[in-house]
Amino acid sequence: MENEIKTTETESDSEIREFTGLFDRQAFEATHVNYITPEKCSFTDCKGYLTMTDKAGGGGPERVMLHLLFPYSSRRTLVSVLNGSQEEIGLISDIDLFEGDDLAAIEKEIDRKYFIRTILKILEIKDKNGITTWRVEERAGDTEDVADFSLKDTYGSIFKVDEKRLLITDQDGNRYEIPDIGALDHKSYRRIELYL
Amino acid sequence: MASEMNPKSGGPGRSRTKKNMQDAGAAKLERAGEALGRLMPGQEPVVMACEAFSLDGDNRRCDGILVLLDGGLVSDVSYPDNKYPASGVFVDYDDVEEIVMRRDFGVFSGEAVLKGGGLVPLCHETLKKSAALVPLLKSVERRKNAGEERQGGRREEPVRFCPRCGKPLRPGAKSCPGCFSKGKVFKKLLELATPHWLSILFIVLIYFLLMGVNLISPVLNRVLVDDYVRSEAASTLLKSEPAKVLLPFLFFVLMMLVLRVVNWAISFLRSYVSMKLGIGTVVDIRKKLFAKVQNLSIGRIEQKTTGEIMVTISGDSGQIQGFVNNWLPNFFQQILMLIIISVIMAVYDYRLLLIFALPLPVTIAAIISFHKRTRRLMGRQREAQSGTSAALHDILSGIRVVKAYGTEEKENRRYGDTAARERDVSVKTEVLLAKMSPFIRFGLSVGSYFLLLYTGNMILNGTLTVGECAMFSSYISMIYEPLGWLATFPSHLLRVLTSANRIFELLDEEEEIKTEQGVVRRIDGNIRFENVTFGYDEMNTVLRNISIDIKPGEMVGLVGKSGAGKSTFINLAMRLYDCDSGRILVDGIDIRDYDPACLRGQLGAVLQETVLFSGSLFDNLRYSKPDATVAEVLECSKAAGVHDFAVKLPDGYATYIGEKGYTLSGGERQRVAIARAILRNPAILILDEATSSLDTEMEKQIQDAISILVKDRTTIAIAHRLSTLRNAAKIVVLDRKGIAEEGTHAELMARKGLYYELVMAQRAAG
Repeated sequence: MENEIKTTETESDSEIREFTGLFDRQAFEATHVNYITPEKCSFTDCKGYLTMTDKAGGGGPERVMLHLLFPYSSRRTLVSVLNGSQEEIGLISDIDLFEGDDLAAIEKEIDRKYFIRTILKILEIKDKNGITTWRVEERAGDTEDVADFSLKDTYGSIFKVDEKRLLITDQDGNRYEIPDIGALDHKSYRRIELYL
Repeated sequence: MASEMNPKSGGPGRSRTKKNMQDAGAAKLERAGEALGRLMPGQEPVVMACEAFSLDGDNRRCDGILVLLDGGLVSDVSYPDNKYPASGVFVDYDDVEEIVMRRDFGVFSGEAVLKGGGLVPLCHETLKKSAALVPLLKSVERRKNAGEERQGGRREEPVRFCPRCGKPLRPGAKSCPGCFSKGKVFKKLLELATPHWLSILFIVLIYFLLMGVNLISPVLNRVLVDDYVRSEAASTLLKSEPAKVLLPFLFFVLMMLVLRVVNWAISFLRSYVSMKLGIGTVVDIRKKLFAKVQNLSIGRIEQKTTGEIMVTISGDSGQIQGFVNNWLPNFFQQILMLIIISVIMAVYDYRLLLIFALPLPVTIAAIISFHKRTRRLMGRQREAQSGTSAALHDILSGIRVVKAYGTEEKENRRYGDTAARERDVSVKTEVLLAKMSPFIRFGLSVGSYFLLLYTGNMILNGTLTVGECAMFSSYISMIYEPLGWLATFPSHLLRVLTSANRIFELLDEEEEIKTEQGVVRRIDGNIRFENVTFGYDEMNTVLRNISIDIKPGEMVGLVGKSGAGKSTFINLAMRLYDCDSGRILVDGIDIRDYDPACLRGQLGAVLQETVLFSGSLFDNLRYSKPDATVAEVLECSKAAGVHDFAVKLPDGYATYIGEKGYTLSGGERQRVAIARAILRNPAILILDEATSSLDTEMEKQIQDAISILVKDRTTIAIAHRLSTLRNAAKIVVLDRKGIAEEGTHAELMARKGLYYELVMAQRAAG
C-alpha cells in the first residue's frame, strides 16, 4: 500500500493531480496535499523533540510532530508533519527521500513516538473469567526483560496486521508486537494459537 | 391483474376447497355479466378483472361488483331480494383524474375523482374484506391512459390468495405462512439435502452398524448367563478343567469389551461426519439466504423486519442443521431398530411382543393429546421470549432517550412485565412437562411389567432360560428409545418444517427489481421523470405524476415540506424502488433496462445517515471504490475534511471503526460519506441532507468541496438549509400533490409562492 505513492523531488503537485485525475485545476486548493521534500525542508533532532526548517519560506526552525497515517503497515511512508497546534503542514510520502541527519532525525522521532515492545517468547497465558494474564519475554528498546500484562477482551485485543504480524493491546493501552508469528518457538505458538 | 379471485369475497360461505373457490370466481363473473347486461345492453365489453363488495354508500348490505373493462370501469350495486333498486355507473378511464382510497375507522371506500370535477363512489367494504379491492382500484390509475400503460409502469402482479385459507398472500410470497404444505416443504428439505446424499448415506450406514453392534450385546449376555453363569455343566467342568471354561468365558468378556470399543469408535465417526455435514449444510443455506436478501429490492426487504431476516438466516438455518445432522439419519435408525427388535421378539415368541405392545395405543393417544397442549404452550413461550427480546432491543436502542427523559424506572417495569410474562408461561410449560412425563414414561414401560410377569412364569415352567430373559429385557430397554423418540418426532418435525418454510419463502421470493443482464454503458447524466407515480404501499401515493427533465451536469435542488416526497424522489432515481406508473429515463433509456450494477456503479450518494462498517477508517473510505490508490483516498479525504481529523487519531487512517473501536461523531461520519462519494467520481450525484450533521463552519468547508464535486456532474440535492441550493440550476418544490413550483432561486423568490414562504420561514427562524 505504501508503495502506491512515489513522490520524488522532481514531481510537481500538478503532476500528482494528473496522476489521480479526479479533479481539475480549480479543485487544487481543496485537495491540495503539500508534499514535503528534502528540497523544501530539513529536520533536526533536538534531543527529545524534532524541528523543521522551511528552506523555501526562509523561516526559522519550528517544532513539529510526525504522525504516521498507516502506523501498522508502514513506518517509513506517508508521514504527516504537524505543527504545535496539531495542524498538518505537509506530508512526507517516503522518509527515504531524505538522507543523512535529516533521515536520522525523522527516524528517531518516529521511534520515539511509535515505541512498541516486541514479544520474543510467551511464557504463560492464564485465562480467568474471560481475562487473560500474559507473561512474556519482551524486547523494549535495547533491553530484554520478562513482562506481565492482562487483556480484558483477548480476541478483540489481538490484531492481525498481516499473515505474520500481530499487534496486541493490553488493558492499559500498551502495545506489543509479534513481528512474525511463525518465528515464535513451538510452546509460545501453542499458547497463543487458541486466540488467533 | 387479480386473475385469481379472492374466495372470501366471492359470496356467501367461506369455502376452503379449490372447487368452491372456482365457484366463487364464477359467481363474480356471472354477477359482472349481469351488471354489464343492464348497464351496457347490446355491447360485449371485455372483462379484465372484477371484484365483489358487500356494502353500499349507506353501509347497507348489498351485492356490489366492481368490473374493470378495457376502456373504463363499472361499479354496480344490487340488493338481496331486490330490497332496494339496483344501480350502477360506468366511468371512462380518460375521465378519471384520480382514484382515492380511504381506510377509515371501520370501512374501506374507493372513489373516482373526475377530471371535470365531481366524484363517483365506486365501492364500500369492511376493512377485513378490502384487500382484494385495493389492487383492482390501483390498476385503474394505470389503465386510465392506455399509452401510459404501453410505456410501462410497475409490472402488474396478480394478487394471489392462499388456496386453503383464502387470505391474500404477501407480495412475492408463494405460500401462506399459516397453512403451507408440509409435504412440499419436506420434499424441498430433502432436495436441499440431496447434494450431501453420500454423506447422509454414510451416516445412515454408520447408524445401522451401530445398531448391529447394539443388537449383538444382548445375545452375548444371554450366552454368558446361560452357558457360564447359570450352567451346571460349566460349574462341574470348572472344577476339573478350569481352562476349558475360563478361556471361552474370557473370550466372551473380551468380545463385550471389543464391542464397547467398536461402539465408541463408530459413535465418534458418526458424530464427526454428522457435524461436518450439518455445518456444511447450514453454511450453504446461510450463503444462499444472504445472497437472496442482497438481491431483493429495498421494498421487499422493508416488508420484513431486520429481526425476522436475522432469525431466518441464523435461527431457522440452525434448525435445518439439526435436522440434517441428527434427525434425518436418526429417523431411519430408530424406525429400523423398532422393526428389527419387534421381529426378533415376534419370531421368538409373538406373545412377548403382544404383551409388550398391549398398553401402547393408549399411551400413544395420551402422548398425542399431551403434545397438542405442550405445542400450544410452547408457542406461547416462544411468543413471550420474542416479546422480551423485542422489549430489550427497543429499550437498549433508545437508551439515550430513556436517560434523557429519566424514564429508567418505567422501562424497568416494562421489561420486568415482559420478563414476568415469559417466566409465567415457561413455568406453566415446565410444570405440565413435569406432570406428564412420569405418566408417559410409565405408560411406555408398563408393558415391561406384564412381560416380566409372563417371562418369570416361563422361567419357572422351564420354557425360558434366565439368559433369554436378560436378553429380552435388554431388547425391551432398547425398544423404548425409538418409541420415546418417535413420540416426540412430530412436534420436532413441525418445528423444523416451520423453519424450513420460512427459509424457502425467503429463497423463493421473487426479485422485484429484475437483475437480468441489462444495458451497460457510460452514463452522461440526463435524468427524465415522465408522469412518475409511486407509493410505498398500495394505499398511499407519495409522488403523483411527476415529470421533470434534468440535463447532464445540471444541479437540481429538491425542496418541500416534510413528507412531500423528496427522499422518495431520490430513492426512485437510484432505483431502490420501481415506480408504480410512468417511467424514469437515464440518457433516454428506461432505468429498468439498465444493468443494476452498471447504473449504481455510476451513482454516488451522500445520504442523511452514514453507515460505517467494522474495519479501518481507510477501508471505510475505500468502500465506494475498492481499487482506489492511497493517493486518491488522501485527496478525497482532504477535499471532504476527513484528513484533518484522521491525522489527529493515534492510529491515523488505520484506526479501527466499529462497535469496539473508535466512534466517529456525526460530522466526521458525514465527511467520510462525502469523501466516499468524491472517490467514486460518479456521473450522477445524490445529496440527501449531505451537510445536515455539520456545524456552520464545517458546512461552509464541505460546501466548498461539494461545489467542486458537483461541477459538471448531474446532481440531485436535498438540503434543509435552503441557502445551500441557491446556486442550483433548477429548484423543484414538491408538495403532496406533485410538483408545486419549478425554477431558479431568483425566479421562485420573485414568484412569491411556496418556495418563497419556505425561505422566509427559515430566515425568520434565524
